[in-house]
Amino acid sequence: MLTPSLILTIAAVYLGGLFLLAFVFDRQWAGDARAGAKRGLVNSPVIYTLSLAVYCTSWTFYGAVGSAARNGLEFLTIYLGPTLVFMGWWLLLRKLVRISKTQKITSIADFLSARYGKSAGLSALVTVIAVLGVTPYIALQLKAVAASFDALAGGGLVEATLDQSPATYDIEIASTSILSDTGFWTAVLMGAFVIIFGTRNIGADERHPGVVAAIAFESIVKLVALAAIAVFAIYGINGGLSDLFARADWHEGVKRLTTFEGTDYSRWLVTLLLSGAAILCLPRQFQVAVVENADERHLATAGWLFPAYLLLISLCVIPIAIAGLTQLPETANPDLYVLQLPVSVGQEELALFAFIGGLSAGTSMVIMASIALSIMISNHIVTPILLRLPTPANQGSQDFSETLLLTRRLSIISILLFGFLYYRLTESSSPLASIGLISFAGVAQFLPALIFGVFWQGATRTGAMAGLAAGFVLWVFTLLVPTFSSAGWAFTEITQVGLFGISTLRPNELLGLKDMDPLVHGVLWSLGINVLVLALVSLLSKQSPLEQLQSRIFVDAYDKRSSGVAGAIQRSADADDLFELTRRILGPDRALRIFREYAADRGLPRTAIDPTPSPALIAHIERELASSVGAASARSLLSGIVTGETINLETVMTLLDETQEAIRHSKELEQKSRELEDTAEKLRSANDQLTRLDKLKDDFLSQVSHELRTPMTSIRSFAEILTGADTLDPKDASRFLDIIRGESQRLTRLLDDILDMSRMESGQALWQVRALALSDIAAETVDAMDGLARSQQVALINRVVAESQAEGESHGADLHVLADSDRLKQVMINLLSNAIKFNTSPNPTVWIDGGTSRTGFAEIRILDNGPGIPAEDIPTLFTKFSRGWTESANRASGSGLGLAISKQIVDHLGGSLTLVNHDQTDGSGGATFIISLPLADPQKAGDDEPEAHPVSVPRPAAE
Amino acid sequence: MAKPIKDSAVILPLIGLVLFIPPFIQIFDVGGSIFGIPIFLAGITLVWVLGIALTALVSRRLLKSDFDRDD
Repeated sequence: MLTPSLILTIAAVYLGGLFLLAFVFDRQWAGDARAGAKRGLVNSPVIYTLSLAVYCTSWTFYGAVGSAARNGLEFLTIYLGPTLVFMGWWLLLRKLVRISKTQKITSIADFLSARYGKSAGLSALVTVIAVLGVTPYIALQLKAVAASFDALAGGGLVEATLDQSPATYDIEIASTSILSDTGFWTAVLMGAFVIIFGTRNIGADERHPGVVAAIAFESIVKLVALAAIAVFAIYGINGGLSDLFARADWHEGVKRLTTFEGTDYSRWLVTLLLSGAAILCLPRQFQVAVVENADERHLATAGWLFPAYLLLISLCVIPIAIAGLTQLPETANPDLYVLQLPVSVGQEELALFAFIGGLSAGTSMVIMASIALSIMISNHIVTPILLRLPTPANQGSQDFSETLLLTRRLSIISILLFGFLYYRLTESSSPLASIGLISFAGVAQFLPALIFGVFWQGATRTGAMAGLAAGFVLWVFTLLVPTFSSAGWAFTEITQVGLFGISTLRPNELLGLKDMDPLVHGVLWSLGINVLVLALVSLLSKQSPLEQLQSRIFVDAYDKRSSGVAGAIQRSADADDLFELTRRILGPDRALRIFREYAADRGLPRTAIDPTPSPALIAHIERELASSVGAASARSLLSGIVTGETINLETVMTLLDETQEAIRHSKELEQKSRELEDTAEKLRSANDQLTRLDKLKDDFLSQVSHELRTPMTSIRSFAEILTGADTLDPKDASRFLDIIRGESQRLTRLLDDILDMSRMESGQALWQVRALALSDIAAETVDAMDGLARSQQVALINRVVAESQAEGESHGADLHVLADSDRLKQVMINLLSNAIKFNTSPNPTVWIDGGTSRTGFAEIRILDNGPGIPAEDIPTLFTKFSRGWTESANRASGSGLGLAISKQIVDHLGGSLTLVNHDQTDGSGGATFIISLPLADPQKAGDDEPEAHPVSVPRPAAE
Repeated sequence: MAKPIKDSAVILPLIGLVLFIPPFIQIFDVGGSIFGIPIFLAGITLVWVLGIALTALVSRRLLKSDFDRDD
């Protein structure tokens, strides 16, 4: 049997566990912060997501089932709205988080105030609306906890109800002793919890990791509890889903849960809109989703995990509602089906678990809402007043941070007290769901200012104030007043005959809008007018410079420049004043830390406090102050000590643009200088090449002079002998003359070669490139060299023709190459004559051979069995005036240009001239020159062949 | 590559919105049941689950994309 004391003990143990959890997490977070750790459980995206589920209060836990039983599937919209908002996290939530991080936003009131020119009036208005809208909601949680306790402990479950009609309103219930009221103790415990873990420190950022962890834990508990009841409803007391849904056939309430038929379109749309607005605008949701967010990336997890959580909750609701509708007495209160189902079949442990689930849902909401509201009240109502009063707290050196903490705590106590009183004084009201929805509609009034604020730069403070005020008034008139009047407390006259007795001013039928659902009617009026007024007044009013600045920062939140805007406001302050102010508001330790960290970030000495603080430092201090007292108060505090403030958006933007311009310029300059460097590098290398060429030219000239000088010297000396000596033997004289003639011929050849070369180098030489049969070229060349070979007694063998015929192998006889016939012959003759002349082998032989290379070129090979080319000469073999053959060998016979010219010719024909030195050790010795040339299409060659071309035998270049 | 994924992050909730409001939500309201579950409820659940899965997919891609720079 569940006795009240047992239930109380278990509830107390559970809440004690929460305290412990929060304590551990706070400690761990502090440890992580010291260690600089970014990861760990505290900063997990899963905990972030679970903390968002503070959205599911006891209104969900008990009320969703009630709503499902009463109104069918409409309850789904409460979860579909947030699902859509989170699926679109990239669009809106990310922007809110980004802005809040850079601006150190502490609450939704602070957010709106900061956006609209750090207006203190706006934040106060938002705070008032939030408190008025949320307090009944807090009262609702206390009531749910108390009612569920009474129901469970009192045993009179079926009679107990949260939904008492006005007629049964009983002053007796309200007058039960406060001390025996579970609601009171719940409020006290929650108050203690929030004061301990919610106001341990002020600022840095308004984060409460211990509280968040506790909330996340409670989210798991309530989901598991609800799921347990749902599973029990499906399988414990029924035969599965088919069994459950089969009842739609005979039960109207169940049928409504299986189809969209009968659902009010307008209510569906309006509740969807309200729930979507609430997930952003409820102070506690803004607190957990935006202010407590540790990392923007957590949104990527929450974007799908939170909708999944909501889906699970929704899936649990339907079976419980069906079982309650069909298996509990009709007098049972749908809002308590969750408890009644297990109790009705004697499952007390399960009922207790359900109670704990409901307790989790209720307490988590109370905790988070009171934290969020206390921040708003202390920052936007109390602090501005305190700062204006000539109190000691405002004067002198007293530490304001202590006052601030005290204010926070008193705010929490007031909120809970207010909520408790509301709960005590309003034993009866609409069912849970409608209180929740009216609360949603109240905070939804923030939505237009929020959305316009982050997407439209033109929204002004006046517009936001006017829209919000109009929306608020209409919310009170069309939603709150009828609720109060239907509860029988007040305003009954207004509801029935209209304001001032004017019937068109009846709250439920304003200006004659009849036959509408009261909620749809109220939301359309309040939100519609809110949006209209905001837009119209914004268009008609002007923004102050600070507003322009802030609207730019908020709308262009992703623009990196925006974060620099605040720092660009030109203003100055005395360093001592600035430090003193910071110390007074944030406490000495934190003030010192802020200044030191700022200095350290900019690479200044840690102890240095600039006597004339830069605008950037002042902006930084303003943000830090805002993190404790809100943007509006921070600004008014600073304005007391700051001088020469000129906020002119255009100036600031120009300044920023100039900075940007400068950055872009410097980037361009960098680019230019890089280009210049490149050019210089190219010039240098070109210069190097020129120098090298110049040197080559000099070398060439000196070599040419040298080469010319040798024959000239011999010609001159013989000429002198001939002129000087009269008695010269005619025989000798004729021999000398022969020598002179020979030397002159050599000179002429040398000069011819040089000319030939320079013609080629300058591109003046004429080329007649066409397809040539390799066999023809080989034969013609061999014919031309036959005489020289015989005179030197060298065997000259043409393998191209001879062996192809003999062995049937391919020696290139059938190949065609693309070349200039004369030039190619010149090369071959040059190579052959070298091979013949320098062959010192006892059995001198020179071969000419053909074939194709692996790379698809035709090859003409000139082989010999001579001494080969000395290894040290190979690198310079093809340069001018190089002689691969030993100097001792008939030196006077060549110009030294033959190989250089040959290489140039082959290169020009698109081929290559290479040397393969044979292995000298195996006696075969010799060298092979390979001329590689592009293959020609033989078909074309065939066309060319009939065309007779002059066969001239060029003289050997290097003989 | 980054552009389409950012676009789909915006389009996805819009598609969800259209499917979750009348008249489109009534697509599934055809009566009858599947495995004992009314087709309408099964349909809403399916859309919801698909939405969650697609959001998870898109969010993962968004995290890998150039997260800080955009618009």
